[in-house]
Amino acid sequence: MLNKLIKLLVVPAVALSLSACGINSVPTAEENAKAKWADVESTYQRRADLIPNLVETVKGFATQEQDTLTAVVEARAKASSIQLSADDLGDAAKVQEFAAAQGALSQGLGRLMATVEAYPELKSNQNFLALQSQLEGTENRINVARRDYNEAVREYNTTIRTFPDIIGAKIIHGAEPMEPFAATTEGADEAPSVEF
Amino acid sequence: MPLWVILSACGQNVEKDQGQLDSAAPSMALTGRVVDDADLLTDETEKELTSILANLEQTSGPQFVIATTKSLNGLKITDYSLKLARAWGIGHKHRDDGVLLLVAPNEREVRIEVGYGLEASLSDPFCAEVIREAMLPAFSAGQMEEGILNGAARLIKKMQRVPSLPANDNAPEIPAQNRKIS
Repeated sequence: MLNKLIKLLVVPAVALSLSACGINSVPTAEENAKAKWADVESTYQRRADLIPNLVETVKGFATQEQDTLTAVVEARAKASSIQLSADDLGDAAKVQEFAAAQGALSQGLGRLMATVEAYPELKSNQNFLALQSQLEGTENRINVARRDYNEAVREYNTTIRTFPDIIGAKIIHGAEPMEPFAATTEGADEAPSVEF
Repeated sequence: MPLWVILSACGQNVEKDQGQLDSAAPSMALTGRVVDDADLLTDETEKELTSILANLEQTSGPQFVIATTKSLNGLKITDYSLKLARAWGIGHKHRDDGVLLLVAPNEREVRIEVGYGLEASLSDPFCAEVIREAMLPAFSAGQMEEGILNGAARLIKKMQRVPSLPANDNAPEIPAQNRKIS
């Protein structure tokens, strides 16, 4: 009689404890953070894709700004060469490296857009105006993607550190915290400001 | 030189979970398709706009909300409009076809916030042009309602030309002889 009772209760008890200790919530939180990271990467890629066109357009009008243009091209190449896979997201040094390279590109772009101020023909050129709006839009998307990623990382890190999910996190998943994405250079997350 | 600073990026991912909102979301209530907190539109205009926007959703798909605010509460308009669009859940989740036109007359800023699903048609350059050419001139002359109507008309026209409704939804079939190559 007791045996029967125990058998009846085992399945619900096991199910309850499984659901409570992070078996599902940890991978779910991790996958969410990885998906948000993919968004961060794709928005940075969009920015990189805009740059060749931008450089060509500015070159046509601002022949003296060769140094600034070269700096942007080099910063872009450097940033594109540093790839972060989803597995590297727990590695603080790698995330820093990625952030720094993208931050340097942001600064180069900021300087370029500042020099454009001195060329009224360029500023009113239709092609340039289109590129400028795309650049601004992309910088905004980058910031949004980064904030969403950091939020997802915060959720994941909290999940793996709090009871009861910490049980599954440590024992079953061996979960390590992920790094939030911090701006490393001064004003790196300030989009080049656009005023008309 | 126009006194308005325009920030006109288009195409944010408006569809996100509530849990991902930052704290301090704007507290304006979604009272309808036109939320005229800054009192820039007449009642009649509001009513007419509301029915046009309802029709737009019916026939072309996108959820287009027009809002004016007395204050951005110290936020950048890009932050404010994104938070508002997310808090209000504008756009159909599976199509990400929300559009928010936000005017902040006291900060002299305007923004068009676009869901990722509409980014191709309401692109960054297109939205920048709408603000620059259809809205700013009227705003600089103090004609707030006119500016809003001009901008809304341009956006609506584009959304009608490039609907977000897939072809097998309940959109009315355009008779063959009336179809134009766009």
